[in-house]
Amino acid sequence: MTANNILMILNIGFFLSLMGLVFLWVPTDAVLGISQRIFYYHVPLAWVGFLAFSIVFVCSCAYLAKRSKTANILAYSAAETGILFISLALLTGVIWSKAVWGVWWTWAPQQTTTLILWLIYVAYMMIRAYGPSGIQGSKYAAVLGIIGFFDVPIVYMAGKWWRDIHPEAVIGPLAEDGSLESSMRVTLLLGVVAFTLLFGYLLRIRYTQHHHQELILELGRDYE
Amino acid sequence: MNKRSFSLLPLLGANFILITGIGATVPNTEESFLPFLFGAYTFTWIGFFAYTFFLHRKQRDLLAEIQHLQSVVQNSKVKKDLEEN
Repeated sequence: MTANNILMILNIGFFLSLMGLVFLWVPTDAVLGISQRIFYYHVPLAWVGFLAFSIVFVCSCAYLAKRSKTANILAYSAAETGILFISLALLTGVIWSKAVWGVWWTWAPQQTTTLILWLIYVAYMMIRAYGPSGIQGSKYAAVLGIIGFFDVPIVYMAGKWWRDIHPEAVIGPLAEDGSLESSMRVTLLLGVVAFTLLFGYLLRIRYTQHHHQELILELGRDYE
Repeated sequence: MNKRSFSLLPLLGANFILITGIGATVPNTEESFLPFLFGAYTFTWIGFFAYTFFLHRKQRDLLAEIQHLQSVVQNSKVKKDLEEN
């Protein structure tokens, strides 16, 4: 059994368990009603997006320092997969916003900074796709990958720095004790694990594809 | 856009109608939140399946490229052998 198959089976198991917990176990929020269950997707999606951009940051630094080809390909793959997760975090956030506050978009600091983060990484992908090829393009992308990462802590801290209607942080250093009921906390953590595994699965596939693409290009160049 | 992508459009449309239509007219009851919950979960999975579909196509293109390279290498080997003989 390949590592990809094991990851896929684990993913299916975790997501089935997550759905079971979300719809059969956790209590309904007294204020937000069943719309609060969007939170079990929204928060892990955002968390994995941040994780992806952290990988881009570390790999971009490694690429600029050592010209590591592996780091370059991993940064590219993580950025692409991260954009998917952040896009879905924005989308679920927009739907939740409409359900709870009656408007699709509130320009709340956390929403706005997340949109900026999304735009930065879209620009990163555009550099990869349309920028100079070879080392020059990879360098430009790495610099943007490093600069763009500084928006990640800003997104997380936005809720504290500019208080608004967005709910307070429930995971990480800013989360207060008892901000979540224990069953909600367990379900959220399971969601984080499930989405992180899914991210790992997709990243692994994309990384292998980018790696093979590079090998094919090199072979083609050598052959010519 | 191929046939498979088109088959997702009715689902997207149904979601949009559910979210914008029902959600806007029904007062804030438990049931009025249901389309939003359904929409958020469905769109998330549509996103993941669309990306998986994209990965699958990339994989197919890579295989085609490898096969093309293999045939080019094979042909050049045959050519070389013929020239040597």
